[in-house]
This record gives sequence, structure tokens and C-alpha cells, in this order.
Amino acid sequence: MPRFHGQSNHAPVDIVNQLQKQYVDYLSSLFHEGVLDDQFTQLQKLQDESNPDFTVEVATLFFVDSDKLINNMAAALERSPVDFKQVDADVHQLKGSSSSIGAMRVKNLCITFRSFCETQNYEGCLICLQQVKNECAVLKDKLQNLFRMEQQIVGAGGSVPLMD
Amino acid sequence: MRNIDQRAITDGKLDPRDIVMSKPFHGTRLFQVIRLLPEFGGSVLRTLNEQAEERLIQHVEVTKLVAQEPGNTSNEKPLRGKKVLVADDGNVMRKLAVAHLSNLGATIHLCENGQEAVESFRRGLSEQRQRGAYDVRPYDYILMDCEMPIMDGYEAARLIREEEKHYGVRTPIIALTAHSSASEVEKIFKAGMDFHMRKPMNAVCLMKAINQIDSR
Repeated sequence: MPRFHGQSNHAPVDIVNQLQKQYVDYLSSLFHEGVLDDQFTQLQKLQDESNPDFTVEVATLFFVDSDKLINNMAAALERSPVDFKQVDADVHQLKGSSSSIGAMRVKNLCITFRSFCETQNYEGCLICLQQVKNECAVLKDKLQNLFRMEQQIVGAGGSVPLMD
Repeated sequence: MRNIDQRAITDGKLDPRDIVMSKPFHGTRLFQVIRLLPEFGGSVLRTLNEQAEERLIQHVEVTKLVAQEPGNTSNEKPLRGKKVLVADDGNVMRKLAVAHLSNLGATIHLCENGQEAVESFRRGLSEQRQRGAYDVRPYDYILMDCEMPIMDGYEAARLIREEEKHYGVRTPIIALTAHSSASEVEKIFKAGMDFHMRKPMNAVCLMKAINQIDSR
């Protein structure tokens, strides 16, 4: 059952329920598709009254980080000779932050990316870079959808359900 | 210290565990009280009678066990009053660390690499020295990411251990790693760190590690 936040404007209970169900379905699909893993749920649990926008803040930090790292990797791969150690260091960082927010697909791509760095496989690195770029864009899009749905629920006077 | 009014104790007006001192409160008397503080090697237990000592020890043990239970709400801030140094080059990781540690009640100092960690540690030691607290460590725990730019966690830990030798303190250092292969774990212990935790960290693993460290 949704908790009321004492907002003076709230939509009928069945609208809130509907929004909540859509949210749960959407988030579940992200888990099933492997876009997110349990670490994301751990993040959501850290959100509370003293930290009301925690998940959005962490996600924002992640994308600032990933954009910078991806640019660094692209630049390093364009240089001649390629400094694979530097690329590897950046991929390692991206792997760390993606695993911290539960971005499972990005994390797994980083693991593959690192093995190409280790074997100094230039083609492999280029392919991984493109895949990582795409995957981060997909993740950004889906998380924006998710956060929008959260705002709609709260705006309608409901509370965001937590996955268990 | 003398209990100067025995009658007050037998009348029940004074708790026999209380320490009674005559005024003025300076010089030797002040020094004696300061020596009771744990920061200066003292223990309040020393001045209690044996029965009271026993009760207190049992209480401390129970509190420890209670703190060990994951998700236990009766000791919600097990790290209250503790200072933790966190060294990690990832901003997401640092934000997570702050969230977890402040939920546990700790005060946090953040660093982005090993060099900053060593500098913070050195600064902390000299601040303590200025205050006259020679054998107090500036941080209760250090969370150290292993792989960082400029200076990694292994080197930072080695340098911190070198500093500590001069002061006779030892700060528990928990290594944060992405993998925990046998060779990595060996490297962690060789660098002088005490424990390792896989990233990303969570409150339960952290408290388990801290409880294990504290019980050594």
C-alpha cells in the first residue's frame, strides 16, 4: 500500500496504484534485461529523508564520470602509438563506477574491454569503446524514464515502491 | 585519589564508583584525571570495584554482539564518534562511501588518491601531537582503494605504516578491491593493510570487517 506524504493535491488512489505498477514493471524489466543489477536496489535503499535525491545524484555523477572517461579512451585510442595502459586505467575506473551503481551491462562490457587492452588488441578496443558508448546512452535514457516515473508517483501523492 | 567522605558513601549519597577529589583541581589532580582517559592510556574500569567492573565488561560484550548483527536497529549508529579516512579515485564510490558511513554515524574525510591520504594522515598526526595526544591515531579506520592514480593504495598504506612507527599507533586499514584473487590479497597484507573488502561496498560488509578488526 502506498504511504501518503501529506500532500494536499493527490490523485485518486487507483491512479497512484497504476503509476506504481507501471514503475515496478519498468524497473523489473531493467533487471530482467540485465541493464541493472541488485546494486541499484542497494543505492535506492540509501535514499531517505536526509538524502531525498540520492539515486538521481549518484546517477548524475556516474554519467559525468562516464562521459569524461569515454572521451579519454577515445582520445587515447586515436593517438599513435596507443597507450593501452592508460586506456585500461580508464576502463578500470568505468568498471568500478558502473558496478557501484548497478549498471551491469556497462560493467560486463568493461571486463571484455580490459582484456582487449591487456592483449593490446586495437580493433577489439575500438569495438568495445563503441559498445560502451551505446550502452551508457541506453542506460541514461532508461534511468531518465525511471526517475520521471518516480516524480509522477510522488507528484500524484504516492510513494515510490522499493524492489526487494 | 582518596574518597574523602566515607559516610556519604555508606549513606548512599555517593555511588562508590564515583571518584571524589578535593579542590583545587589543578596540577597533580588534573594530571591524574587526564590519565584516566583512554586517549592517554587510561581506563575508567581501573577505578571501579570488581563487581562493577564485571557488569561493565558484560555490557560492552553485549553491545559488541548487538552491533555485529546486520540490520540491528538498537545500535543504529555503530560508528558514532568514529573518524574514517576514505581514499578512492572514483566520485561515485566516494559518494557511496559517504552515504554508507554517515548512516553508520561516522565522520568522514575524503581523499582522491594515495598521496592525499598520506598527507591527510600526516596532518592528522601532527595535529594530535600539537594537542599532546601522542598515541592517538587521527583516524579510527582507513578505507583504501587499491588502484588509484598518482599513488596507489599499496604505496599509501606502506607510507602510513612508516609514519605510524614513530608514534606507536596502528590504524586499521581496509583495502577496497574490485577482485580478491589470492595474489591480490597477499599484496594487500604485504602492504600492511588489515582487511580487504570487495567493491562496491555495503554497510553490512563494512560492519563485519570492522567488528572483526575490533575483536582482534
